[in-house]
Amino acid sequence: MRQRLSAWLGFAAIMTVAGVLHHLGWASLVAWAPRPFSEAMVPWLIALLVVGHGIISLVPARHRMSAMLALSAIVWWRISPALVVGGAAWVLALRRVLWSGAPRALTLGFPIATLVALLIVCDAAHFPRLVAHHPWLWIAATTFALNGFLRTLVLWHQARTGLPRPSRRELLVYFGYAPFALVPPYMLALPRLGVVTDGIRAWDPAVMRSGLRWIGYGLGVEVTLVALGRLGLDPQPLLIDALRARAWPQAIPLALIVYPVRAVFEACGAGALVVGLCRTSGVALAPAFDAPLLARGVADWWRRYNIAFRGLLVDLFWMPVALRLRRRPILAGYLGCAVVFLCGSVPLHWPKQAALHGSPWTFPWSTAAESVVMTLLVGTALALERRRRRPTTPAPWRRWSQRALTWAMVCGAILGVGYQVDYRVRIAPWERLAERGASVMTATEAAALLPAARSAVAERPFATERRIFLARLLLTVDDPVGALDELYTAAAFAAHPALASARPLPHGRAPDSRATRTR
Amino acid sequence: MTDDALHAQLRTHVRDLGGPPDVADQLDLFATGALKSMQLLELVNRLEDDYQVRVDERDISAGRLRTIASLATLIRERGSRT
Repeated sequence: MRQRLSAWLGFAAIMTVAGVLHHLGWASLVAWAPRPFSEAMVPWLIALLVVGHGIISLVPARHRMSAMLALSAIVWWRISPALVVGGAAWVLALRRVLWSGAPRALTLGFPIATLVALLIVCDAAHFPRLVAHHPWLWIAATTFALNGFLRTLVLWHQARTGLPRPSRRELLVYFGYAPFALVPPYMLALPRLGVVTDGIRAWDPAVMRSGLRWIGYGLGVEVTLVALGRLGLDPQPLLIDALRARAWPQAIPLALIVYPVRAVFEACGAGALVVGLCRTSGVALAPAFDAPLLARGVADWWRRYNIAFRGLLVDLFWMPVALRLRRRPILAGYLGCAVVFLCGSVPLHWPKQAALHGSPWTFPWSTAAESVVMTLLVGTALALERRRRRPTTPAPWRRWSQRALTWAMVCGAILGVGYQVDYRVRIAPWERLAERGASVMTATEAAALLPAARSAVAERPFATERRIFLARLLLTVDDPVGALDELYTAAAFAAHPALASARPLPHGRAPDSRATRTR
Repeated sequence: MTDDALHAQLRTHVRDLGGPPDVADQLDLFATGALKSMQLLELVNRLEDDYQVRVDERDISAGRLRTIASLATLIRERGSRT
């Protein structure tokens, strides 16, 4: 009991520090994903979590699940009572469906249908009035896309491979799990059901103390990134400037720095916060990242990067394909990778993008392009690894050169291919349109730009500047009613606290720098 | 076949596939990186060829191929069934 109380005091202290740093803008508790509530809610949620953890530390083991369920209900109720009522009903329905005895492929239809339905009703591209008047639709969609859908797939896989039907309380705790209200897990924390329920029952002080270290590490990374941004040393805006100026001697070394700073440290920091929050409530979650910059090969990198999501992809996509083709291992490796990256990773990135931007026209082209390259790289690496069975311990210079080569290859896939595709498909057309629109004087010129402007708005319906741009064109073609409608919608989106803070600018970056990449 | 002999054979398979030479019975072969995904496929092939057991996704998901001890248990169960 004493150890639990000391771990709780540590939790209270570090969460207070996290809240203060978040409030001061020195750390974003979730820089990489939107939260379906306003920033003003953050202190409330931190306070609820701290008090709730204290109470759970005191209650006997047999009551801990009920205590966590109560805490989760209170935390989510504070965000949205509709989420608690609707979410609980949905979880109980899911329990009936997954363990109904129906073919497993059919049972998968339930969560997918839920996701599609939510993405349709939060579609601000086609139904802007509906979303503006009922923002809870967007809240429900983002919560499900970022918080529930991938864990539903984990549970579905567990049910498919023989997990007996869990109790209602276990399932409600699994999906309602209070820490995930503050920091959405998305693909960084995808624990199996037993890991969550066993961890809460055990409430092991050693696991809780390890969580404090993870949160400390995550906050340290966040503060470092903010400091780099405030000192003007964030390499991403510098890289974008160099690329726009076609200054290749500056761009190439910056590109090599952007990869570890952005794609690795930022993700590792967010992952550490999620893992730490889980561990401080006893859930012994594995790290989300295992020092990917130390990988000595692309296959090794793939095993170290975003481990929870990789595990899900392996379970759902790699294993069925590779096992069927196991007598032809090379083919199994390549086809398994193709299925994992192209049929798994890309479609599973899409719902987040669609919910986040309130638009279905957000296909993750950059992820798709990266995935093609990664399929070839990882497939080849697996084939080579199979030939070179015995692990070797090369000289230090060789190990570091292997790391550098891996770094360069992954960097090439992400920056050279993914970023480029993202820029060409999504950013450059809007930049060109805005540039042309600035000099529009006549109704004919404005009318010619209208279809492209409407597409730009459909792609990012919450983007105020795009709606204002469209409104200006509509005024030029003498359509004041249409222009007013666009301005009204933009104002309605901007006025809602959750929608307005849906995309807070993390790390003090300039808006144009983050506009280049939203994963 | 005795348990010890079966365990020794399984250790040989793991070593042939690139794992460490002397694996403890309870060592998690995959979490520790002793075996990787491609070696898992070959391990399944060897289990099916040498011991006439059928292995499916459920066994992998349930962690029945993770340690020498769990592999031996799987072979004993399936062997006695077939």
